[in-house]
Amino acid sequence: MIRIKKLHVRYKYIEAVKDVTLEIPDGKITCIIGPNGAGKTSLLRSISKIIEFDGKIYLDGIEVSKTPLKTISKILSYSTSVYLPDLLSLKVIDALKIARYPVSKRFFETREDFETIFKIASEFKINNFLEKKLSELSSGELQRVILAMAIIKNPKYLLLDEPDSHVDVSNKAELINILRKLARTKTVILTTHDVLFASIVGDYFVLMNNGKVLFVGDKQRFFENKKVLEETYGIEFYEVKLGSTFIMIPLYVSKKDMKSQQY
Amino acid sequence: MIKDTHKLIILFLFLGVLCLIAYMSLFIGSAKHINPLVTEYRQTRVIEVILAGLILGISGAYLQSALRNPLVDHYILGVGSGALFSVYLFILVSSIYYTILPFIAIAGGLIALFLTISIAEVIGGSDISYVLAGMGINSLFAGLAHLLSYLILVKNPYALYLLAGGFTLASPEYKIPLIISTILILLTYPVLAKPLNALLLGDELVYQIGYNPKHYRLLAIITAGIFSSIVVSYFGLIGFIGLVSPHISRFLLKTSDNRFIVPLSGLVSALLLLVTDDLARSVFVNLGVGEVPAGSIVAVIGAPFFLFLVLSRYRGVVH
Repeated sequence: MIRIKKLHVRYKYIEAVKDVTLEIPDGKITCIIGPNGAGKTSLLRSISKIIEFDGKIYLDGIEVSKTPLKTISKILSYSTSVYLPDLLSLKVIDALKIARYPVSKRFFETREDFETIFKIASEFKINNFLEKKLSELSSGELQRVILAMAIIKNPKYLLLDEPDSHVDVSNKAELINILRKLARTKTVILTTHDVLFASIVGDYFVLMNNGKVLFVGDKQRFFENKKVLEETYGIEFYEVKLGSTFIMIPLYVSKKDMKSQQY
Repeated sequence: MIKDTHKLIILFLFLGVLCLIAYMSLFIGSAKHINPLVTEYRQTRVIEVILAGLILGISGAYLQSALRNPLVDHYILGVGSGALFSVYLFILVSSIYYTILPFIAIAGGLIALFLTISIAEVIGGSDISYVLAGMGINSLFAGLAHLLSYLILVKNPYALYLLAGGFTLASPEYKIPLIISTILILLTYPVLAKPLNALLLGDELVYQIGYNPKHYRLLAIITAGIFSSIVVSYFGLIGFIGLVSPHISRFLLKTSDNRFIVPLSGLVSALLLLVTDDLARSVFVNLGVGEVPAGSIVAVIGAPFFLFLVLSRYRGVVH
C-alpha cells in the first residue's frame, strides 16, 4: 500500500501539488485523472523519488525520501515516453537489459536475466523486433516496449505516466488487456486524460485539479460523484451500462450549451 | 552470456591487432644492429601513443553517452583548446614547470568544458547547441593559444608542437603519469558503464533504474575532461579521434551498450593513433616531407567523418 501524507511539490514559480494526503490500495488499477496541470505527473514522480518534495510518502512502510534510489528501483517502476537521439539509439534488447539492471546481480547479464528478457518479450509480442532500434519502432510497438521495460525487473508497483497517449483505438484495447493481466500480480497506478479509458480499466480513482485531490474512491463511489467530475472538467458526462459494468463517456459539451439546445 | 560472446571476441581481436601493430612499430624497418637508444625511444613513443589513444577513446565514449550527444568529443567541446591555452599561459608567466603542467591543463580544460556546457544548456541543450557552444569556446581558446604561442617562442620553442598535436615530444618522464592516468580512467569504467547506458534513456528513466543521473553524468564528464586535458598537456591537440572511435565501435558491434563500447572505443582510438603515428614517423619522413604531426593527419581523416555524421543526421542515412 502507498500512503501519502501532506505532500507538497514546489517548482520555481508554481506549487504543483498542494497538501495531498491519500492512500492507494494494493492489487488494483488506480487511475489518476484531472485536467492539464492538475499535478498528476508530479504526484507519480514524487512517489518514484524523481523529484524533490515535502511531506511523507510510504511504500509498504518504507519512507521514500529516506530510502536510497537503489532500494526503491527494485520495488517500483516509473515509465513515461522515451525520446532518443538517432545516432545513439539503443536496440530494443539493449533497452530491456538496461531496465533489468536494478535486479541483475552481475556486471554482465546472467542466463537467468536473458531468460526473463525473452519470456517478457514474447508475452508483450515484441520478440520479433528485439534487434530493431527504438527510434525505428511505430508508436504502438514503442508503447509495448516501454511497458515491457517497466515490468522486466518484476516490481511490485507499476507507475505509468499516460500509457495511453499516442495510442490508437485498437492498440488501446490491447493496452487494457495487458493492464488487466498485470494487475493480477501488481499494483498499477496510471495517469490519463481519457476518462472513458479510465472508467473501463480502473478499479480505484483519484481526481485532481490545481494540485489538490478532489475525490478518492472505488468505481461505485466514482460514479456516485459524477457531479465533482463534471464541475472539474466543466463538461457533461454520460453513464452507460455495459454488461455488468458502467462506463463514463465525456460529451465534450458544457451544461450551458446543453441547455441552449444546440445538441 | 549466450548472446554477447561475439562482442567479447571482437574486443579481444582488436586487443590482438593492437599488440601486433605495436610489435611491428617497434621492430620493423630497422637495420640489423639498432642503436639501443633508438629502440628505447621507439618503445617510449609506442607505449605513450597507445596510452594516449586509450584515454582519448574512452573519454570520447564517456562524453557522448553522458551528454546523450553523438557529435561531441574533448576537442569539439573546447576541452583541448582550453587546456592548451592554460598550458601556454603558464609557460609564459612562470619559469618553473613540467611536473605541474598537467594540473594547469586540467584546470583550463575543465573551465572550457563547463563554459561550453552552460552555454549549450542556455541555448536549448540540444545536441547541435553543444556543437555550436563548443565551436565558440574552442575558437576563443584556440585563438588565444595561437597568440600566446608567438610570445612563448623564445622561452620554449618545443611548446609549438602542441598546436597540431603529435608524439614527437614523447619523453620517458611522461610514461609514469600516463600509466597512472590510464589505470585511473579504467577504474571508473566498472562504475560508469551501466549508469551511462541508463543515461541514454533520458533522466526520468534513470532514476527508477536506481541511479541519480546528475551524479553519474558529472562524474563521467569530469573524468573525461581531466584525463583528456592531461593528454593535451603532453602531446597537444589531437582532435576528432575521440569522436570517431566510439562511432566506429558502435558500428562494429551494432550496439550502444557502453560495457562493450567504452573498452572497444579505447582500443580503436589507440590503434588509429598508433597507425597514424607510424605513418607520420616513417612514411612521410621517407617521402622527404619531414615528420608530420599525427594530430593533423587524424584531423584530416576525422573532420570529413564528422561532417558525414552531421549530414546523415538530417538525411537519416545512419541510424
